[in-house]
Amino acid sequence: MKGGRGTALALAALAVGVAALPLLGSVFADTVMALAGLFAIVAVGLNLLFGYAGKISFGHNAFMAMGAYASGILTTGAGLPPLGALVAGAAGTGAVAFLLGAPILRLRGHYLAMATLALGEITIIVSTRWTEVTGGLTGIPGVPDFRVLGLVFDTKTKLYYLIWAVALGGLGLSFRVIDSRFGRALRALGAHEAAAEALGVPVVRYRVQVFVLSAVYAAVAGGLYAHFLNYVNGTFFDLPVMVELMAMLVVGGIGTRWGPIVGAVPLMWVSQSLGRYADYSLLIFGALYGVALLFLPRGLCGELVAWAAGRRGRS
Amino acid sequence: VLSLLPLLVVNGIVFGAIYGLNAVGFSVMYNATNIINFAQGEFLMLGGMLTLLFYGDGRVPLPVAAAGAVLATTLIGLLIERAAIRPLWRRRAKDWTYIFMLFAVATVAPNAVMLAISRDAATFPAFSGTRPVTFGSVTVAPQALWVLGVTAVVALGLHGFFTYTLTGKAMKAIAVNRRAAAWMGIPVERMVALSFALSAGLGALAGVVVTPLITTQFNIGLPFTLKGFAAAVIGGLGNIGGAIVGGLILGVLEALSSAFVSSMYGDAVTYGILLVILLVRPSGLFRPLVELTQEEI
Repeated sequence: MKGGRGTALALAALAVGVAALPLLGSVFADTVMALAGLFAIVAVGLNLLFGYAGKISFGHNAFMAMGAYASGILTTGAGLPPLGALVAGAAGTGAVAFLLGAPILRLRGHYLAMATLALGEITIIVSTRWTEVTGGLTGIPGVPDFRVLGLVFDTKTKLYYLIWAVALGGLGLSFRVIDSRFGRALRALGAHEAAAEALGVPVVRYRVQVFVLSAVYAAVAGGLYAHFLNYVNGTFFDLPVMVELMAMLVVGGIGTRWGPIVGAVPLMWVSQSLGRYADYSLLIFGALYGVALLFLPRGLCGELVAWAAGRRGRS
Repeated sequence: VLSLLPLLVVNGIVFGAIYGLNAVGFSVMYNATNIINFAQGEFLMLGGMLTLLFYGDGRVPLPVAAAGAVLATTLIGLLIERAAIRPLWRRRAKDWTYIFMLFAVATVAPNAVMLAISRDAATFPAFSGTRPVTFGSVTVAPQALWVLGVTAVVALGLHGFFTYTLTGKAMKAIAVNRRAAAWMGIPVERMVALSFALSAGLGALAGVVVTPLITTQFNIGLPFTLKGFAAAVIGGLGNIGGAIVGGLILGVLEALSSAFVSSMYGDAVTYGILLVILLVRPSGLFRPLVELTQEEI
């Protein structure tokens, strides 16, 4: 169970695969995979929050939007370098998540889901109407290309590398978290909060910490998205984003290490390959994850692990 | 602005009645299943959109189209229960699975309607003309009286149903203790299906009576879900009378805030009210049918 050499090898293999993809020379493939990486970053954070600590959020699209607006506003308005804006956006979003998380995470289950949904909707409504700061429905055009240490990420392929470096780093970090004392405490908290508290887990502090961590994942992805499009608009982060994230998590496997990546990559291919049937995207995503809940309750990764365990058990 | 106060309050009450009807849908389903229906607002959307579909350009009389829409939505509610919820129920899925499943329903329904019926906002004629009715300093559209009348009839009808009929009492028994109810011979699964049919039908009815006052569109479900839930929480989740009163309170608060605070952020203000209620008083103003335990909140 513990991520040891096998996990490190798998991560390295994935890194090699990621590095090799642009050799195909398809800009379309690089673009789709870059988007898949962006969503995977958010999904990894959500997986820690929901898959391990058992806290549902239907509002993480808001944290993506905050990260994106921070990058957009700080680079175009304040002239900050992109990396500085990204870090500032992540820190600011983390602070917002800290302030919101303390009261909101007292709610559980259905109530928490509804509260976070309301929070996400409020953020998107405000972001499209607070014209002085966010540019309203026009959004923020002219977000510069991401650059750091003299490297300029001015093509989709270069950004693809940057995004997947962050995604793999984020995935590796999530493994560290899952295997740590903190991660074990999160699982206890997710299984039964009162029991975890009785065993000495600082429930309030940990659930806020994991909420902040997952919000930071979302904010980083949002900031990179702003550079990816060279543009920010709140409508890009509306509820459909949350639907896609949920579908990725459910299909990949909630509470499994690799689930977020396993869900994000194929689903992003589906949504980007629809072409003139793009209108069907949400219908397909909704149906897909409803069906997954019925027939693959543990997701692709979870079912695979259970199947492998069953085989080992028999032989 | 103060001279507008009576008008604002009346408007708030009319929309509040719709939120109340929707909140009743939440409460009926919650009592039978402990599920919060993330697709409740979609029933309201379906009621309006299906009426539009059946009504066409007036080939079918409006009452027939409306009745057909309510019936069709009720059947859709039953179908959702049978296809999406009962399998989870039978395998004793965890609580969150229902939340996700209904979120999936709330994604599929509006997009299916958008693709199959229309993506444009539309409306149909009011039931009995548009000549305003005057009460003292307040004039209201006749359709608003329909909204209030339907809400009153539904509230009284449900009160009678839950107080005097065996089926209604059985549904209440399930809310109090599902296992004991099953031991007494109450067919729990059938009651769960009935609760889905009832909340779908109520939602559709609310959608039918409100549409002439506003316009309807495939995407109006989510706001009504959030507002209906807010109303249900204010009224004490599961308390039918409380749900109606909660709706009226929310409607009036919304109308007043749009006039006196700011209408710039629209629904965001109402969602803010929902957040405050959830954080400050999640048990609501009235006694819920069954006291919530700390575990459930």
